[in-house]
Amino acid sequence: MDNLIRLSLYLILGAVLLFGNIWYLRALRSLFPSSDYVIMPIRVVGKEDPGGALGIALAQMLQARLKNIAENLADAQQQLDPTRARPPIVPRPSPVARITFAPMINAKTITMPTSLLEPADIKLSVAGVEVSGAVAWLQNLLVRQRTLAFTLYSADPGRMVVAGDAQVLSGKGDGSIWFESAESQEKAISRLAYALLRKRLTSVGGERIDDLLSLAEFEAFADGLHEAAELSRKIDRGGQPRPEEFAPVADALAPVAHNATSLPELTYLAADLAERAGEAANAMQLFAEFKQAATAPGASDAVRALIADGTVDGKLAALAAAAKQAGAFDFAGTLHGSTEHFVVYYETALGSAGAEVAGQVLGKVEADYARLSELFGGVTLAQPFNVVIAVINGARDGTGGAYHKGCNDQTLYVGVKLEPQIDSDRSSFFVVTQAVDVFAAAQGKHAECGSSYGGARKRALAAELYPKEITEFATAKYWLDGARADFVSVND
Amino acid sequence: MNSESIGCAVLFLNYLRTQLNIPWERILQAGGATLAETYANLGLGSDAFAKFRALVDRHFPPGKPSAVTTDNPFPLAA
Repeated sequence: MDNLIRLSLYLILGAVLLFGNIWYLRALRSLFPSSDYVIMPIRVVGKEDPGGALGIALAQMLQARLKNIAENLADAQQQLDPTRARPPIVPRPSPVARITFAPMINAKTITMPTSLLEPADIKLSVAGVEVSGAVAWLQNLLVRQRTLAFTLYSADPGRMVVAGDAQVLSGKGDGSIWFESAESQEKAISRLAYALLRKRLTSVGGERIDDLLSLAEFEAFADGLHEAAELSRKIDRGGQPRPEEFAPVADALAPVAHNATSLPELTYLAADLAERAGEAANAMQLFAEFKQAATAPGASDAVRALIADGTVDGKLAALAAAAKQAGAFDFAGTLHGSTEHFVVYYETALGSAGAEVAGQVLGKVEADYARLSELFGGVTLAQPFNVVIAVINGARDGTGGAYHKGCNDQTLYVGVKLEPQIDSDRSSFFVVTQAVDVFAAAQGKHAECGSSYGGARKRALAAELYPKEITEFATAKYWLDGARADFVSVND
Repeated sequence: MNSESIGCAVLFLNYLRTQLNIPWERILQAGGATLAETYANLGLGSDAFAKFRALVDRHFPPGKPSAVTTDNPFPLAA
């Protein structure tokens, strides 16, 4: 009897212990989120945060923003996927008597040849929301290997520094994050979300995005992709976005595409958007860059196919014709080629001689750009130059000169010297004269280009790079043999 | 702006560069709305035109054909 009672007691005790253990394990497990990474409450320095509520709120904002950006990126890639099934496009009927000067918009939807990014695959939770004290300390201790901790330092009014380490996200390479922000706290958190994703993402080709794009570029890239997807969706619904709707997206993506040469898919997208925005010259340059990038060993089959099937060549030819029709250039031009900072055209009527000069000029422009940038204290220009080599003022002997339509206008019309023999240095000399105006305007501390000082500046610097070419244009004798008025103290 | 005013300005720039041996980087960094301002910004004083004109006049007397064919006849003996 005693044994039976003892056995019953043991069984009851065992059951209680078993349930207790299950409860204990469940409780213990519930302390640790099932997410891959844990954002610790953001440490705020320079602001009152006695209960830590601000730090937790900022961490939650970061979590939400990061999720939002990652979803937008994934959605954009899906929307821009050319293989995705789409509804048939039904354009809106136009009023019969409507007259418009707006360019015709291609209602074909926007796509990229292939995906750009691998999925972010990032799950985050915020630590310390429901627990505190020793339990939070234990949680921190046990999940330390996968925690993300950041400090927001805002000691100076209107300026804050965000710093932290995202090594656990980036896996390898530099995981440190540091940036300054003069914007609001919310904007700084948003930027931190971009910074974290940049550390996390890789391209489909396996390259790390933080090796390819700066933080500012990545922000422009992610936002631009999202906007492009929205425009694509609008077209899918039968809408016809106007050129001015494409323009800001094209303008935001173009500089990123110029720099990220190993992402030809992005270059194609930016070119397509520029074309839809009516920015023929930019579109031509981007398609030319895409054509060049597509020949790289790592280019995808989809990218190569666009070259092989003549799609890009067709677009370039159409754009060249459109550029003239739209009045983009003063001469009917043929695109010869492009570099990082220049797109070089020649007047189509010049034929093979124009192509020869354009080819030689193209080979020198980057060195000239580098020298001018050096002379102007490291100034660089956000946009590339368009150079149109043409017969100016009817002169084929190199005396036609050069012009552009404003000190900072980067479309340069330069004369050509074909007689008595071809001299491409003359056209290069002209390019430098006009480029000097643009660099001086960008530096923002000089007399304007139309003054006597400006005219002298371009001549003197162009002569520095092409000393032989100035001879025919020397002007010192006119002053020496004249009244010798003072154009040093005043401009003419 | 005409050939005479540009001729004066380009001569002066080359005077800074070749006669006074100031690198282009410094000349451009100095900026200025006029060449005299550039000269002053370079720390050379406020007598830009007077000094320049005096040197040029010594080597190319006014009223006589200069026979200069380039924009940069410098350096000249001081």
